[in-house]
Amino acid sequence: MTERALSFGADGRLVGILTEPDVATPRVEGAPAALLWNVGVNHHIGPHRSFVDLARSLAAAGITSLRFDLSGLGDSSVRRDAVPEAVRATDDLNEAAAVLEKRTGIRTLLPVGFCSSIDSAHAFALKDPRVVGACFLEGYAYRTRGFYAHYPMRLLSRERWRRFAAERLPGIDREATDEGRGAIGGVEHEKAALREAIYVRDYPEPEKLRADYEAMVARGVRMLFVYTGGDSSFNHVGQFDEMLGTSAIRASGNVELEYYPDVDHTFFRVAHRERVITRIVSWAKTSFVGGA
Amino acid sequence: MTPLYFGNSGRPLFGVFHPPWPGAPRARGRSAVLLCYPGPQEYNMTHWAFRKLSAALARDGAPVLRFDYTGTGDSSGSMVDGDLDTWVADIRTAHEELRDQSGIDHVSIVAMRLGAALAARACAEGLEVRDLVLWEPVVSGARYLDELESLDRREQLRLLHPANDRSRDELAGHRLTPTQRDAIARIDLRQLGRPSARRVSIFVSEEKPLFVALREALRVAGADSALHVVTEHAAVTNAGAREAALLSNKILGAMAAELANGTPE
Repeated sequence: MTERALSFGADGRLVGILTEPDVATPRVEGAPAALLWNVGVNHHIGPHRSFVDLARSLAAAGITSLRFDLSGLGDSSVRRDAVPEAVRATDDLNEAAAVLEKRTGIRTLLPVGFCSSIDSAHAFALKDPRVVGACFLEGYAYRTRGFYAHYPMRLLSRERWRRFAAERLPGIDREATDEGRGAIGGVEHEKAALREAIYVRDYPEPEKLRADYEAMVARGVRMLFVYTGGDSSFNHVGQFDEMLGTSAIRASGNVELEYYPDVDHTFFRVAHRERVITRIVSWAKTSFVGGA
Repeated sequence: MTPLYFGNSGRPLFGVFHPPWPGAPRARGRSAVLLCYPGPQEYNMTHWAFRKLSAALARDGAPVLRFDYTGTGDSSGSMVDGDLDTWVADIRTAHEELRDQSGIDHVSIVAMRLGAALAARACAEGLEVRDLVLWEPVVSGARYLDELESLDRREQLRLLHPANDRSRDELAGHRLTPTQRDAIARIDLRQLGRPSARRVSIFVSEEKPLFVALREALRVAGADSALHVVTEHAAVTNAGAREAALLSNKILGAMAAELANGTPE
Protein backbone atom coordinates (compact mmCIF):
# COMPACT_ATOMS: atom_id res chain seq x y z
CA MET A 1 0.00 0.00 0.00
CA THR A 2 1.31 3.41 -0.89
CA GLU A 3 -0.06 6.81 0.04
CA ARG A 4 0.57 10.09 -1.70
CA ALA A 5 -0.50 13.56 -0.66
CA LEU A 6 -2.05 15.51 -3.51
CA SER A 7 -3.02 19.08 -4.22
CA PHE A 8 -5.38 19.07 -7.14
CA GLY A 9 -8.17 20.89 -8.90
CA ALA A 10 -8.01 23.80 -11.31
CA ASP A 11 -6.31 26.06 -8.80
CA GLY A 12 -4.79 23.38 -6.60
CA ARG A 13 -7.22 24.19 -3.83
CA LEU A 14 -8.21 20.61 -3.04
CA VAL A 15 -6.17 18.33 -0.80
CA GLY A 16 -6.39 14.58 -0.62
CA ILE A 17 -4.58 11.32 -0.07
CA LEU A 18 -4.30 8.79 -2.87
CA THR A 19 -4.02 5.27 -1.47
CA GLU A 20 -2.96 2.57 -3.90
CA PRO A 21 -2.23 -1.12 -3.75
CA ASP A 22 1.45 -1.93 -4.18
CA VAL A 23 3.46 -4.87 -5.45
CA ALA A 24 2.48 -6.95 -2.45
CA THR A 25 -1.20 -6.59 -3.33
CA PRO A 26 -1.41 -5.57 -6.97
CA ARG A 27 -4.20 -3.37 -8.21
CA VAL A 28 -7.20 -5.24 -9.53
CA GLU A 29 -7.65 -4.12 -13.10
CA GLY A 30 -11.17 -3.00 -13.82
CA ALA A 31 -12.01 -2.25 -10.21
CA PRO A 32 -13.34 1.28 -9.57
CA ALA A 33 -11.55 3.75 -7.33
CA ALA A 34 -13.30 4.69 -4.11
CA LEU A 35 -13.96 8.35 -3.32
CA LEU A 36 -14.22 9.42 0.32
CA TRP A 37 -14.86 12.96 1.50
CA ASN A 38 -16.10 15.04 4.42
CA VAL A 39 -18.72 13.77 6.82
CA GLY A 40 -20.12 16.94 8.35
CA VAL A 41 -17.20 19.03 9.57
CA ASN A 42 -14.90 16.05 9.94
CA HIS A 43 -11.96 16.36 7.61
CA HIS A 44 -11.00 13.67 5.16
CA ILE A 45 -9.76 11.10 7.69
CA GLY A 46 -13.42 10.49 8.57
CA PRO A 47 -15.05 10.05 11.97
CA HIS A 48 -12.60 8.35 14.34
CA ARG A 49 -10.13 7.99 11.43
CA SER A 50 -12.47 5.49 9.75
CA PHE A 51 -11.67 6.58 6.19
CA VAL A 52 -7.95 6.01 6.70
CA ASP A 53 -8.64 2.47 7.88
CA LEU A 54 -11.12 1.90 5.03
CA ALA A 55 -8.72 3.23 2.38
CA ARG A 56 -5.91 1.00 3.62
CA SER A 57 -8.17 -2.05 3.79
CA LEU A 58 -9.40 -1.40 0.25
CA ALA A 59 -5.81 -1.09 -0.95
CA ALA A 60 -5.02 -4.43 0.64
CA ALA A 61 -7.82 -5.85 -1.51
CA GLY A 62 -6.39 -4.25 -4.66
CA ILE A 63 -8.68 -1.22 -4.75
CA THR A 64 -7.43 2.37 -5.08
CA SER A 65 -9.04 5.26 -3.23
CA LEU A 66 -8.85 9.01 -2.87
CA ARG A 67 -9.93 10.59 0.41
CA PHE A 68 -10.12 14.35 0.15
CA ASP A 69 -11.63 17.54 1.49
CA LEU A 70 -14.29 19.51 -0.35
CA SER A 71 -13.60 23.19 -0.98
CA GLY A 72 -13.36 25.14 2.24
CA LEU A 73 -13.36 22.09 4.50
CA GLY A 74 -10.54 20.21 6.20
CA ASP A 75 -7.27 20.99 4.44
CA SER A 76 -8.81 22.28 1.18
CA SER A 77 -8.99 25.97 0.35
CA VAL A 78 -12.15 27.95 -0.13
CA ARG A 79 -13.48 28.30 -3.64
CA ARG A 80 -13.49 31.95 -4.62
CA ASP A 81 -16.56 32.05 -6.81
CA ALA A 82 -20.07 31.92 -5.37
CA VAL A 83 -21.83 28.70 -6.29
CA PRO A 84 -24.39 26.68 -4.34
CA GLU A 85 -23.01 24.02 -2.01
CA ALA A 86 -24.43 21.15 -4.04
CA VAL A 87 -22.81 22.41 -7.23
CA ARG A 88 -19.54 22.95 -5.43
CA ALA A 89 -19.54 19.39 -4.13
CA THR A 90 -20.23 17.94 -7.58
CA ASP A 91 -17.51 20.11 -9.10
CA ASP A 92 -15.07 18.95 -6.42
CA LEU A 93 -15.99 15.32 -7.04
CA ASN A 94 -15.34 15.84 -10.75
CA GLU A 95 -11.94 17.31 -9.91
CA ALA A 96 -11.23 14.26 -7.73
CA ALA A 97 -12.25 11.92 -10.56
CA ALA A 98 -10.00 13.83 -12.95
CA VAL A 99 -6.92 13.59 -10.74
CA LEU A 100 -7.60 9.91 -10.12
CA GLU A 101 -7.67 9.23 -13.85
CA LYS A 102 -4.58 11.34 -14.43
CA ARG A 103 -2.57 9.65 -11.68
CA THR A 104 -3.82 6.07 -12.00
CA GLY A 105 -5.69 5.73 -15.29
CA ILE A 106 -8.77 4.52 -13.39
CA ARG A 107 -11.96 5.84 -14.95
CA THR A 108 -14.67 4.10 -12.92
CA LEU A 109 -15.72 5.28 -9.50
CA LEU A 110 -17.15 4.09 -6.21
CA PRO A 111 -18.34 7.01 -4.05
CA VAL A 112 -18.81 6.32 -0.34
CA GLY A 113 -21.42 8.56 1.29
CA PHE A 114 -21.76 8.67 5.06
CA CYS A 115 -24.50 10.61 6.85
CA SER A 116 -24.41 14.20 5.53
CA SER A 117 -22.20 13.30 2.57
CA ILE A 118 -25.00 11.05 1.34
CA ASP A 119 -26.47 14.07 -0.41
CA SER A 120 -23.48 14.67 -2.66
CA ALA A 121 -22.78 10.93 -3.04
CA HIS A 122 -26.33 10.29 -4.19
CA ALA A 123 -26.38 13.18 -6.64
CA PHE A 124 -23.00 12.19 -8.08
CA ALA A 125 -23.82 8.50 -8.36
CA LEU A 126 -27.11 9.29 -10.05
CA LYS A 127 -25.70 11.59 -12.70
CA ASP A 128 -22.20 10.41 -13.43
CA PRO A 129 -21.84 7.41 -15.75
CA ARG A 130 -18.35 6.71 -14.38
CA VAL A 131 -19.96 5.54 -11.13
CA VAL A 132 -20.27 1.76 -11.16
CA GLY A 133 -20.72 1.25 -7.43
CA ALA A 134 -21.85 3.29 -4.45
CA CYS A 135 -21.84 2.75 -0.73
CA PHE A 136 -24.34 4.60 1.44
CA LEU A 137 -23.64 4.54 5.18
CA GLU A 138 -26.61 5.80 7.16
CA GLY A 139 -28.32 6.84 3.95
CA TYR A 140 -31.78 8.22 3.35
CA ALA A 141 -34.47 6.71 5.53
CA TYR A 142 -38.18 7.37 5.83
CA ARG A 143 -40.36 6.33 8.69
CA THR A 144 -42.71 3.65 7.50
CA ARG A 145 -45.61 1.83 9.12
CA GLY A 146 -43.10 -0.89 9.95
CA PHE A 147 -40.91 1.68 11.67
CA TYR A 148 -43.78 2.67 13.95
CA ALA A 149 -44.69 -0.97 14.50
CA HIS A 150 -41.16 -1.54 15.76
CA TYR A 151 -41.10 1.71 17.69
CA PRO A 152 -42.68 0.33 20.92
CA MET A 153 -39.72 -2.03 21.12
CA ARG A 154 -37.82 0.99 22.36
CA LEU A 155 -39.72 0.66 25.61
CA LEU A 156 -38.10 -2.71 26.08
CA SER A 157 -34.65 -1.33 25.46
CA ARG A 158 -32.69 -1.30 28.68
CA GLU A 159 -30.22 1.12 27.12
CA ARG A 160 -32.84 3.69 26.24
CA TRP A 161 -34.15 3.59 29.81
CA ARG A 162 -30.62 3.85 31.13
CA ARG A 163 -30.03 6.92 29.02
CA PHE A 164 -33.39 8.40 29.92
CA ALA A 165 -32.51 8.07 33.58
CA ALA A 166 -28.97 9.31 33.14
CA GLU A 167 -30.11 12.47 31.43
CA ARG A 168 -32.44 13.29 34.29
CA LEU A 169 -30.42 12.34 37.33
CA PRO A 170 -28.38 15.16 38.79
CA GLY A 171 -24.76 14.40 39.51
CA ILE A 172 -24.32 11.91 36.72
CA ASP A 173 -20.86 13.35 36.23
CA ARG A 174 -20.11 13.40 39.94
CA GLU A 175 -17.19 11.04 39.70
CA ALA A 176 -15.33 13.31 37.32
CA THR A 177 -12.44 15.40 38.54
CA ASP A 178 -12.52 19.19 38.58
CA GLU A 179 -10.83 19.31 35.20
CA GLY A 180 -12.97 16.44 34.06
CA ARG A 181 -16.09 18.29 35.09
CA GLY A 182 -14.99 21.16 32.94
CA ALA A 183 -14.35 18.77 30.10
CA ILE A 184 -17.69 17.11 30.45
CA GLY A 185 -19.77 20.23 30.46
CA GLY A 186 -22.71 18.24 31.77
CA VAL A 187 -25.69 16.68 30.16
CA GLU A 188 -27.36 20.04 29.64
CA HIS A 189 -24.39 21.21 27.61
CA GLU A 190 -24.57 18.05 25.61
CA LYS A 191 -28.24 18.49 24.90
CA ALA A 192 -27.64 22.09 23.89
CA ALA A 193 -24.86 20.99 21.55
CA LEU A 194 -27.16 18.43 20.00
CA ARG A 195 -29.83 21.07 19.48
CA GLU A 196 -27.27 23.36 17.86
CA ALA A 197 -26.04 20.54 15.67
CA ILE A 198 -29.41 20.10 14.01
CA TYR A 199 -29.44 21.41 10.51
CA VAL A 200 -31.79 21.13 7.62
CA ARG A 201 -31.32 18.67 4.78
CA ASP A 202 -33.62 18.26 1.86
CA TYR A 203 -34.38 14.60 1.49
CA PRO A 204 -35.70 13.52 -1.88
CA GLU A 205 -39.34 12.48 -1.85
CA PRO A 206 -39.71 8.70 -1.56
CA GLU A 207 -41.01 8.43 -5.13
CA LYS A 208 -38.05 10.40 -6.42
CA LEU A 209 -35.65 8.29 -4.38
CA ARG A 210 -37.14 5.07 -5.74
CA ALA A 211 -36.85 6.40 -9.29
CA ASP A 212 -33.24 7.43 -8.65
CA TYR A 213 -32.29 3.99 -7.32
CA GLU A 214 -34.09 2.29 -10.21
CA ALA A 215 -32.16 4.44 -12.66
CA MET A 216 -28.87 3.47 -11.00
CA VAL A 217 -29.81 -0.20 -10.94
CA ALA A 218 -30.75 -0.04 -14.61
CA ARG A 219 -27.32 1.43 -15.29
CA GLY A 220 -25.74 -1.52 -13.52
CA VAL A 221 -24.54 0.42 -10.48
CA ARG A 222 -23.92 -1.88 -7.53
CA MET A 223 -24.97 -0.47 -4.20
CA LEU A 224 -24.35 -1.27 -0.56
CA PHE A 225 -26.56 0.30 2.09
CA VAL A 226 -25.58 0.16 5.74
CA TYR A 227 -27.91 1.40 8.46
CA THR A 228 -27.33 1.42 12.20
CA GLY A 229 -29.63 1.21 15.18
CA GLY A 230 -28.54 4.50 16.66
CA ASP A 231 -30.86 7.47 16.89
CA SER A 232 -31.99 7.19 13.32
CA SER A 233 -35.18 6.85 11.34
CA PHE A 234 -34.29 3.29 10.48
CA ASN A 235 -35.06 0.54 12.98
CA HIS A 236 -35.45 -2.80 11.21
CA VAL A 237 -34.03 -4.46 8.15
CA GLY A 238 -37.36 -4.75 6.38
CA GLN A 239 -37.76 -0.99 6.39
CA PHE A 240 -35.70 -0.57 3.25
CA ASP A 241 -38.23 -2.47 1.16
CA GLU A 242 -41.10 -0.73 2.95
CA MET A 243 -39.60 2.65 2.06
CA LEU A 244 -39.17 1.89 -1.58
CA GLY A 245 -42.06 -0.46 -2.20
CA THR A 246 -41.84 -3.59 -4.24
CA SER A 247 -39.65 -2.73 -7.13
CA ALA A 248 -36.91 -3.92 -9.36
CA ILE A 249 -34.35 -2.44 -7.00
CA ARG A 250 -33.87 -5.37 -4.65
CA ALA A 251 -34.76 -7.95 -7.27
CA SER A 252 -31.93 -6.73 -9.45
CA GLY A 253 -29.31 -8.37 -7.28
CA ASN A 254 -27.30 -5.16 -7.50
CA VAL A 255 -28.28 -3.97 -4.05
CA GLU A 256 -27.01 -5.25 -0.73
CA LEU A 257 -28.33 -4.14 2.61
CA GLU A 258 -26.90 -4.37 6.10
CA TYR A 259 -28.54 -3.31 9.33
CA TYR A 260 -26.49 -3.19 12.53
CA PRO A 261 -28.93 -2.73 15.42
CA ASP A 262 -26.15 -2.61 18.01
CA VAL A 263 -24.03 0.00 16.25
CA ASP A 264 -24.23 3.75 16.67
CA HIS A 265 -24.31 6.47 14.11
CA THR A 266 -20.62 7.42 14.00
CA PHE A 267 -19.27 3.91 14.60
CA PHE A 268 -17.73 5.13 17.84
CA ARG A 269 -16.43 1.76 18.92
CA VAL A 270 -13.36 0.27 17.26
CA ALA A 271 -15.03 -3.12 16.79
CA HIS A 272 -17.97 -1.49 15.01
CA ARG A 273 -15.68 0.31 12.59
CA GLU A 274 -13.81 -2.89 11.91
CA ARG A 275 -17.11 -4.65 11.22
CA VAL A 276 -18.37 -2.12 8.70
CA ILE A 277 -14.99 -1.80 6.98
CA THR A 278 -14.79 -5.57 6.62
CA ARG A 279 -18.30 -5.56 5.16
CA ILE A 280 -17.53 -2.80 2.64
CA VAL A 281 -14.30 -4.42 1.50
CA SER A 282 -15.99 -7.81 1.20
CA TRP A 283 -18.79 -6.25 -0.87
CA ALA A 284 -16.32 -4.41 -3.08
CA LYS A 285 -14.32 -7.58 -3.68
CA THR A 286 -17.44 -9.57 -4.53
CA SER A 287 -18.78 -6.83 -6.76
CA PHE A 288 -15.68 -5.66 -8.55
CA VAL A 289 -12.78 -8.01 -7.94
CA GLY A 290 -14.42 -11.29 -8.76
CA GLY A 291 -15.02 -12.94 -5.43
CA ALA A 292 -14.49 -12.20 -1.76
CA MET B 1 -0.46 25.23 1.48
CA THR B 2 1.33 22.04 0.55
CA PRO B 3 0.34 18.61 1.82
CA LEU B 4 3.31 16.26 2.06
CA TYR B 5 4.69 13.05 3.48
CA PHE B 6 8.10 13.30 5.14
CA GLY B 7 10.49 11.53 7.47
CA ASN B 8 11.40 7.86 7.40
CA SER B 9 10.12 6.38 4.12
CA GLY B 10 9.26 3.20 5.99
CA ARG B 11 6.84 5.02 8.26
CA PRO B 12 6.19 8.44 6.74
CA LEU B 13 4.46 11.26 8.56
CA PHE B 14 1.80 13.43 6.97
CA GLY B 15 1.93 17.17 7.28
CA VAL B 16 0.70 20.38 5.71
CA PHE B 17 3.21 23.14 5.10
CA HIS B 18 1.90 26.71 5.00
CA PRO B 19 4.39 29.15 3.45
CA PRO B 20 4.13 32.80 4.50
CA TRP B 21 1.41 34.57 2.61
CA PRO B 22 2.53 36.63 -0.36
CA GLY B 23 2.80 40.18 0.86
CA ALA B 24 3.05 39.14 4.51
CA PRO B 25 5.45 41.21 6.60
CA ARG B 26 8.96 39.77 6.40
CA ALA B 27 10.14 40.32 9.92
CA ARG B 28 13.85 39.74 10.28
CA GLY B 29 14.56 36.92 12.65
CA ARG B 30 11.06 35.53 12.37
CA SER B 31 10.88 31.90 13.41
CA ALA B 32 9.06 29.14 11.61
CA VAL B 33 6.24 27.59 13.64
CA LEU B 34 5.62 23.90 14.21
CA LEU B 35 2.10 22.98 15.32
CA CYS B 36 1.57 19.84 17.39
CA TYR B 37 -1.94 18.40 17.55
CA PRO B 38 -3.54 16.96 20.69
CA GLY B 39 -3.96 13.20 21.07
CA PRO B 40 -6.13 11.21 18.66
CA GLN B 41 -9.22 11.38 20.86
CA GLU B 42 -9.25 15.17 20.59
CA TYR B 43 -7.79 15.48 17.09
CA ASN B 44 -10.93 15.67 14.95
CA MET B 45 -12.55 18.37 17.05
CA THR B 46 -9.47 20.59 16.93
CA HIS B 47 -8.36 20.13 13.31
CA TRP B 48 -10.23 23.20 12.10
CA ALA B 49 -8.76 25.38 14.86
CA PHE B 50 -5.27 24.25 13.79
CA ARG B 51 -5.99 25.15 10.21
CA LYS B 52 -7.19 28.60 11.27
CA LEU B 53 -4.11 29.11 13.45
CA SER B 54 -1.86 28.05 10.56
CA ALA B 55 -3.49 30.63 8.30
CA ALA B 56 -3.19 33.36 10.95
CA LEU B 57 0.52 32.67 11.45
CA ALA B 58 1.19 32.47 7.70
CA ARG B 59 -0.58 35.81 7.26
CA ASP B 60 1.80 37.21 9.87
CA GLY B 61 4.73 36.01 7.78
CA ALA B 62 5.64 32.75 9.52
CA PRO B 63 6.14 29.47 7.67
CA VAL B 64 4.07 26.81 9.45
CA LEU B 65 4.06 23.02 9.50
CA ARG B 66 1.31 21.02 11.17
CA PHE B 67 1.64 17.26 11.13
CA ASP B 68 0.10 13.99 12.31
CA TYR B 69 1.88 11.71 14.77
CA THR B 70 2.58 8.09 13.84
CA GLY B 71 -0.66 6.11 13.80
CA THR B 72 -2.87 9.21 13.77
CA GLY B 73 -4.48 11.28 11.03
CA ASP B 74 -2.99 10.52 7.63
CA SER B 75 0.38 9.40 8.95
CA SER B 76 1.45 5.82 8.55
CA GLY B 77 0.62 3.10 11.01
CA SER B 78 -2.24 2.48 13.37
CA MET B 79 -2.83 3.74 16.88
CA VAL B 80 -1.04 0.77 18.41
CA ASP B 81 2.10 1.70 16.44
CA GLY B 82 2.36 5.00 18.27
CA ASP B 83 3.60 5.59 21.78
CA LEU B 84 4.88 8.63 23.60
CA ASP B 85 8.53 7.94 22.70
CA THR B 86 7.61 7.61 19.02
CA TRP B 87 5.51 10.76 19.08
CA VAL B 88 8.29 12.78 20.74
CA ALA B 89 10.65 11.51 18.04
CA ASP B 90 8.03 12.55 15.45
CA ILE B 91 8.19 16.11 16.79
CA ARG B 92 11.95 16.13 16.30
CA THR B 93 11.50 14.82 12.75
CA ALA B 94 8.86 17.44 11.96
CA HIS B 95 11.07 20.17 13.46
CA GLU B 96 13.82 19.17 11.04
CA GLU B 97 11.39 19.01 8.12
CA LEU B 98 10.13 22.51 8.86
CA ARG B 99 13.67 23.85 8.88
CA ASP B 100 14.26 22.22 5.50
CA GLN B 101 10.98 23.40 4.01
CA SER B 102 11.28 26.98 5.24
CA GLY B 103 15.02 27.51 5.09
CA ILE B 104 14.74 29.05 8.56
CA ASP B 105 16.84 27.73 11.44
CA HIS B 106 14.75 29.15 14.28
CA VAL B 107 11.62 27.20 15.07
CA SER B 108 8.88 27.91 17.61
CA ILE B 109 6.31 25.35 18.67
CA VAL B 110 2.61 25.69 19.45
CA ALA B 111 1.36 22.45 20.93
CA MET B 112 -2.03 21.54 22.33
CA ARG B 113 -3.16 19.22 25.14
CA LEU B 114 -1.24 15.92 24.91
CA GLY B 115 0.80 17.50 22.12
CA ALA B 116 1.94 20.14 24.62
CA ALA B 117 3.20 17.44 26.97
CA LEU B 118 5.05 15.77 24.10
CA ALA B 119 6.58 19.00 22.83
CA ALA B 120 7.64 20.04 26.34
CA ARG B 121 9.34 16.69 26.78
CA ALA B 122 11.09 16.99 23.42
CA CYS B 123 12.40 20.41 24.45
CA ALA B 124 13.41 19.19 27.92
CA GLU B 125 15.37 16.44 26.16
CA GLY B 126 17.30 18.98 24.13
CA LEU B 127 15.22 20.05 21.15
CA GLU B 128 15.96 23.74 20.87
CA VAL B 129 13.16 26.11 20.01
CA ARG B 130 12.66 29.84 20.27
CA ASP B 131 9.14 30.00 21.71
CA LEU B 132 7.33 27.06 23.25
CA VAL B 133 3.60 27.72 23.43
CA LEU B 134 1.67 25.20 25.52
CA TRP B 135 -2.03 25.45 24.62
CA GLU B 136 -4.38 23.94 27.21
CA PRO B 137 -1.52 21.59 28.14
CA VAL B 138 -1.92 18.17 29.68
CA VAL B 139 -0.01 18.80 32.91
CA SER B 140 -0.93 15.55 34.62
CA GLY B 141 -1.27 12.38 32.56
CA ALA B 142 -3.43 10.76 35.22
CA ARG B 143 -5.80 13.72 35.16
CA TYR B 144 -5.85 13.61 31.36
CA LEU B 145 -6.86 9.95 31.44
CA ASP B 146 -9.66 10.87 33.83
CA GLU B 147 -10.81 13.46 31.34
CA LEU B 148 -10.75 10.96 28.49
CA GLU B 149 -12.71 8.53 30.66
CA SER B 150 -15.24 11.31 31.19
CA LEU B 151 -15.39 11.96 27.46
CA ASP B 152 -15.88 8.25 26.92
CA ARG B 153 -18.67 8.12 29.50
CA ARG B 154 -20.42 11.07 27.93
CA GLU B 155 -20.23 9.49 24.48
CA GLN B 156 -21.53 6.28 25.99
CA LEU B 157 -24.42 8.28 27.40
CA ARG B 158 -25.23 9.52 23.93
CA LEU B 159 -24.96 6.03 22.49
CA LEU B 160 -27.69 3.50 22.76
CA HIS B 161 -25.32 0.59 22.86
CA PRO B 162 -22.67 1.28 25.43
CA ALA B 163 -19.59 -0.81 25.50
CA ASN B 164 -20.18 -2.66 28.71
CA ASP B 165 -17.88 -5.33 27.40
CA ARG B 166 -15.42 -2.73 26.21
CA SER B 167 -11.87 -3.80 26.29
CA ARG B 168 -9.52 -1.59 28.25
CA ASP B 169 -7.54 -1.37 25.03
CA GLU B 170 -10.00 1.26 23.84
CA LEU B 171 -10.78 4.72 25.12
CA ALA B 172 -12.96 7.50 23.69
CA GLY B 173 -13.31 5.85 20.31
CA HIS B 174 -9.67 4.90 19.77
CA ARG B 175 -7.40 2.07 20.69
CA LEU B 176 -5.22 2.66 23.70
CA THR B 177 -3.03 -0.20 24.86
CA PRO B 178 -2.24 -0.73 28.54
CA THR B 179 1.36 0.24 27.79
CA GLN B 180 0.26 3.50 26.19
CA ARG B 181 -2.10 4.15 29.08
CA ASP B 182 0.64 3.57 31.65
CA ALA B 183 3.01 5.89 29.81
CA ILE B 184 0.40 8.64 29.70
CA ALA B 185 -0.39 8.17 33.38
CA ARG B 186 3.25 8.92 34.21
CA ILE B 187 3.21 12.34 32.54
CA ASP B 188 3.81 15.18 34.98
CA LEU B 189 4.98 18.37 33.30
CA ARG B 190 5.76 19.90 36.70
CA GLN B 191 8.63 17.43 37.05
CA LEU B 192 10.01 17.92 33.56
CA GLY B 193 12.70 20.47 34.22
CA ARG B 194 13.68 23.33 31.96
CA PRO B 195 12.76 23.09 28.28
CA SER B 196 15.32 24.36 25.75
CA ALA B 197 13.20 27.35 24.82
CA ARG B 198 13.87 31.05 25.05
CA ARG B 199 10.38 31.53 26.40
CA VAL B 200 7.55 29.24 27.51
CA SER B 201 4.01 30.60 27.20
CA ILE B 202 1.02 28.75 28.58
CA PHE B 203 -2.29 29.67 26.93
CA VAL B 204 -5.49 28.49 28.57
CA SER B 205 -9.12 29.52 28.48
CA GLU B 206 -9.63 29.03 32.20
CA GLU B 207 -7.19 29.37 35.06
CA LYS B 208 -6.84 26.11 36.98
CA PRO B 209 -4.48 25.16 39.79
CA LEU B 210 -2.57 22.75 37.57
CA PHE B 211 -1.71 25.48 35.09
CA VAL B 212 -0.54 27.81 37.82
CA ALA B 213 1.55 24.99 39.27
CA LEU B 214 3.10 24.34 35.88
CA ARG B 215 4.08 27.98 35.44
CA GLU B 216 5.60 27.96 38.91
CA ALA B 217 7.49 24.72 38.24
CA LEU B 218 8.87 26.17 35.01
CA ARG B 219 9.92 29.33 36.80
CA VAL B 220 11.68 27.34 39.51
CA ALA B 221 13.45 25.35 36.79
CA GLY B 222 14.75 28.60 35.37
CA ALA B 223 12.49 29.01 32.36
CA ASP B 224 11.11 32.37 31.27
CA SER B 225 7.47 31.41 31.54
CA ALA B 226 4.09 33.13 31.53
CA LEU B 227 0.51 32.00 31.96
CA HIS B 228 -2.03 33.67 29.67
CA VAL B 229 -5.70 33.19 30.44
CA VAL B 230 -7.81 33.99 27.39
CA THR B 231 -11.44 33.52 28.24
CA GLU B 232 -13.37 31.85 25.48
CA HIS B 233 -17.07 31.31 25.18
CA ALA B 234 -16.27 27.62 25.61
CA ALA B 235 -13.06 25.79 26.27
CA VAL B 236 -11.95 23.44 23.52
CA THR B 237 -11.93 20.67 26.07
CA ASN B 238 -15.57 21.31 26.82
CA ALA B 239 -16.85 18.91 24.24
CA GLY B 240 -20.40 19.84 25.14
CA ALA B 241 -19.82 23.08 23.29
CA ARG B 242 -17.41 22.00 20.61
CA GLU B 243 -18.97 24.10 17.91
CA ALA B 244 -18.49 27.31 19.89
CA ALA B 245 -14.88 26.40 20.64
CA LEU B 246 -14.15 25.64 17.00
CA LEU B 247 -15.55 28.95 15.90
CA SER B 248 -13.69 31.03 18.45
CA ASN B 249 -10.72 33.06 17.26
CA LYS B 250 -9.73 34.75 20.49
CA ILE B 251 -7.12 32.36 21.83
CA LEU B 252 -5.77 31.70 18.33
CA GLY B 253 -5.26 35.42 17.81
CA ALA B 254 -3.63 35.79 21.21
CA MET B 255 -1.12 33.02 20.50
CA ALA B 256 -0.32 34.39 17.04
CA ALA B 257 0.22 37.84 18.54
CA GLU B 258 2.50 36.42 21.24
CA LEU B 259 4.68 34.73 18.62
CA ALA B 260 4.82 37.87 16.47
CA ASN B 261 5.63 40.06 19.49
CA GLY B 262 8.50 37.82 20.42
CA THR B 263 10.23 38.26 17.09
CA PRO B 264 13.57 39.98 17.59
CA GLU B 265 14.17 42.96 15.33
